Amino acid sequence: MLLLSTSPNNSDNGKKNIKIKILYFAQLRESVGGKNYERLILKDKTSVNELLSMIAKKYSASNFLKSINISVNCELVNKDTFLRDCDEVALLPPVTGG
Amino acid sequence: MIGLNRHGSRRIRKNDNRNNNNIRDLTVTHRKISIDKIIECVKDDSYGAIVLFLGTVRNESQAGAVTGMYYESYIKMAKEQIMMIEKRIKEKWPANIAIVHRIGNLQVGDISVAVCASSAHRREAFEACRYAIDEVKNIVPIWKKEKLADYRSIWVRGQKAGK
Repeated sequence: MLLLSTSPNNSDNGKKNIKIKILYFAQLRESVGGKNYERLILKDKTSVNELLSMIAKKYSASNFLKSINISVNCELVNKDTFLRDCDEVALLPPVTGG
Repeated sequence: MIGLNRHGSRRIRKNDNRNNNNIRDLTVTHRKISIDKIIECVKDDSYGAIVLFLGTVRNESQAGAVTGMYYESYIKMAKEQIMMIEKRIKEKWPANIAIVHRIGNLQVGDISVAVCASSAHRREAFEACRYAIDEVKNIVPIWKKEKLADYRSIWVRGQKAGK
C-alpha cells in the first residue's frame, strides 16, 4: 500500500521508502488549495495510478484528475509506471498555450 | 531568443548573450517578446523567406469581454518540448525556426507567443511556421487564465499535453 506522508518514516515491512516531489498546475493547483508542489514519502514500487488515487481522495479532485497527463522528470508516462526515489511528478491539465 | 540554423547549431544574437549563459532559458520568458530579435534569430543570407506568427491576447472570448490573460507554465518541461518541436522541424524542412512563449500577466494586445521560420522559399517557411505554432498549442505545458471584465477569472479549457 501507499504511504502518504510529508515526514520521513521507515517502512514497516523493511522495504525502503522513496521521496518524490509532486507539482500542481493551473486549475488543478487551485483545487488542491493553491500549492505549487508538495514533497511526499511513498512506499517503494508505488505506481502513478496509486499516487493519483491518493491525491484524488485527499483533495476530492477526481474530476480534474480524469483528464490530465502525467510526467515524471519531464517525460510523459503511463499511469502504471512505478515511481522511483527523487522523481519529480507533474500533474498536467489540458494545455492552453498560445 | 534562440533559433536553429540550417546546420542544426544554435545562433544567438550577440547582445542577448550578456545576461543569459543558458540559451534554453529564452524560449519561455516573463519578458516582453521582441519581434526584431526573433527575426534576427532565423535570418540567413541563403534564405529568401521569413514567416512570423504572433499570438496576441484578445479582448473577448466565449466567456465574455476579456481584460487580460495570466499564463503559467511547467517551465522546465515546456522548454524541453519547444526544443523537441524545433528538432522535428529541422528534420522535416530545410528551415530555421525560433519559438518564444511569454508567461505571467499580459494585457489585451500583448504578444503571448511568437514563432518565426525562415527558409529558401515561402512554402517551406509557411509550413514550418504553421507546424510549430500548432505543436506549441497542442503539447507544450502552458496554461492560461482569462481575466474577464466582470471580474471573474476562468482557466481556459484545452487538450492534453504531450504526444
